[in-house]
Amino acid sequence: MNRTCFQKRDWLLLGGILLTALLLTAALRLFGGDGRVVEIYADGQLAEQIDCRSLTDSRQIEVNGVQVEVSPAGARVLSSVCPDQVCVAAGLLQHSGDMAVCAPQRVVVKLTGTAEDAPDAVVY
Amino acid sequence: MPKNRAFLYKLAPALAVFLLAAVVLWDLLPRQAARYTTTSFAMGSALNLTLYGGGEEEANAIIADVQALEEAISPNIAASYTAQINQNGAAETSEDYRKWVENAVDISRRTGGAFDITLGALSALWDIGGENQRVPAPKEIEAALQHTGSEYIEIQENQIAIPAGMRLDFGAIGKGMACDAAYAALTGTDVKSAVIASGGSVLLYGENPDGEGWTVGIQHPGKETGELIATLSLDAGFVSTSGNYQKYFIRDGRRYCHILDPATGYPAENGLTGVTVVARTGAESDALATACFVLGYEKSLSVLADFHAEAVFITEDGEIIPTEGLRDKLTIQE
Amino acid sequence: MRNEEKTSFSAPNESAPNGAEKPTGGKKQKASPAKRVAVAGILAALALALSFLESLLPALPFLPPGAKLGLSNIVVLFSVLTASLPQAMAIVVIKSAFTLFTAGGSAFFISLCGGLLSCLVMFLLTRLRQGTLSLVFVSVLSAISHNLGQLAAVSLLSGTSLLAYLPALLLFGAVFGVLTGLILKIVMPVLLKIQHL
Repeated sequence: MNRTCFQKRDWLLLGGILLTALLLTAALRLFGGDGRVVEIYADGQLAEQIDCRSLTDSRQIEVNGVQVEVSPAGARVLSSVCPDQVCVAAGLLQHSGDMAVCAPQRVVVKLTGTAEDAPDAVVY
Repeated sequence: MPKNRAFLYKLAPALAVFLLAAVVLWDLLPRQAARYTTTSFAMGSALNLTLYGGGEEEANAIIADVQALEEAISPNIAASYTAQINQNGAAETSEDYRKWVENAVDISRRTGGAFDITLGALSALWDIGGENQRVPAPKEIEAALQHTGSEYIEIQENQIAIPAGMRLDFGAIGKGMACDAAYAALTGTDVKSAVIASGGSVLLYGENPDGEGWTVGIQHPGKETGELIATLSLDAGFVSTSGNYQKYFIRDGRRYCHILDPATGYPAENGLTGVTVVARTGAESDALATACFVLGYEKSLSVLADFHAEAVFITEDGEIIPTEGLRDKLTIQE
Repeated sequence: MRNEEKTSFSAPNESAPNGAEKPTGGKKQKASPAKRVAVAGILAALALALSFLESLLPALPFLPPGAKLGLSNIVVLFSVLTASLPQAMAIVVIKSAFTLFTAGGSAFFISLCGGLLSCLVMFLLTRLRQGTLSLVFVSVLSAISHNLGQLAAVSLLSGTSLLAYLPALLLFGAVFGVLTGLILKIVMPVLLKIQHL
């Protein structure tokens, strides 16, 4: 039992980790855009890219057995054939950087920043 | 193992820097304005709300106000003032309703009747988009036209009366009015900016947090929903579009769209496929979009000037014509 | 060769022989191969049991995919500290192999990536600084590297960048790392009994 459990230097480690996490979060939020583009990847390829703010209604898209609902509010995984359902539990994705990952089905739903000319609204 | 004191001398500044950084960052983080988005249903189509600096509470307040508006003006809700007036020829109304009708009558006058809320009977005849849509016989149209005309609305102190056979319909202005209701609901709240869209009418409230103005996309008349023909770069204001590509039916090779010309009783046809209007109120933007579509390009210009409004016209041939004020703000999509 | 050995653990009543057995040393353990396999097996079973217990907890949405409490890391870390890297890696492989049967090939790959990276980090850290790094220190960094390994695997499989998870990964890796480090300290005597059966 010669190895100590906790030392003073460990506070430094924890502090450093906290700081790094904060810095990363700040960087992500500042440079991440405002999350109006929903990207759906299947098997590593971009399957769908939708500007959710220009939608007038919800759309449902299925990839690899994963049902994704894209709406003006963002995106969410409705259902999936995977065993752990982590992707469904991710809930509604609203901000840039929010993600829902279904590893078994190799599906990733991501919200990213602005496509340069994505409109704030569409009149039709 | 380092002695306590020596370590403290190392730790203290580290902690100080860390705390300072944490405070600075914490201040920095919320600056990316929190965006709250939600969708509801009102005035017969989707109501999309995007708020910056507000949340569920403010959104619900806006939705409630828009729904209250719908309950007052929709002819399809039995208890609405409109339904009562249509049913009984007259009804007592709230002061707000009276003001709305006065406003609509005023716009009607200033657009030479191109926009009119008294076309209910005519619309019902065509029923475009409904189950009984058909091309009515000329005699039927003539008869229905007899029961139109905003000038025949009687606005009295407490009540509004219309001649027998007339039916009020706020369809061409309702969504714009919803934007006005949203505007009223937002004023005085902490919401710094917002985008409220009721069907094809949009309220741009405040400034876009990214500092570059609002970008409003104009639906491409010939393509899928979401595909744009052009975008407008705007400051706060109201935008609406009217077009012949949303609600229509085709019979014998001819397209009949839902925007009726009150002068002829037939769907408006002036070589335009869509008009987008930027105006000072939601009601004006919606009503003028309809009026300009009916009037056609030439005749619309003086009307728009009268209302200090601007517009973008899209012709059947795909030409995109902005008015002077929007020339610099229009970007045509490739 | 130093005689003062900070990384060797003696079970109570057992005195450290001269030229004490060290995890870093080249000396082979005196236990028979059969015993070594048995001990590894017990530890692996323990790791599996802990893993199973963890899986009963609901996955929180803001956690990176697969980020769990890491209770089984307690066993792996113990193994690195008191036995050898091979024993620890064996435990990791067995634990991951089970996910192959319960959740499929991708889960196996993810688990393996995380487990092996974490194992490696544990090995390196316990040898650094003459073994004075605390349990929590090693535990935190191994937890973070475990999650990093998993994230990298998921990123590879799904073909996208999952950078956005990094802050959460760091924070929760730290929190869970502290927890598992403390738990290890507490259950150390029990584990030592197994190791020196």
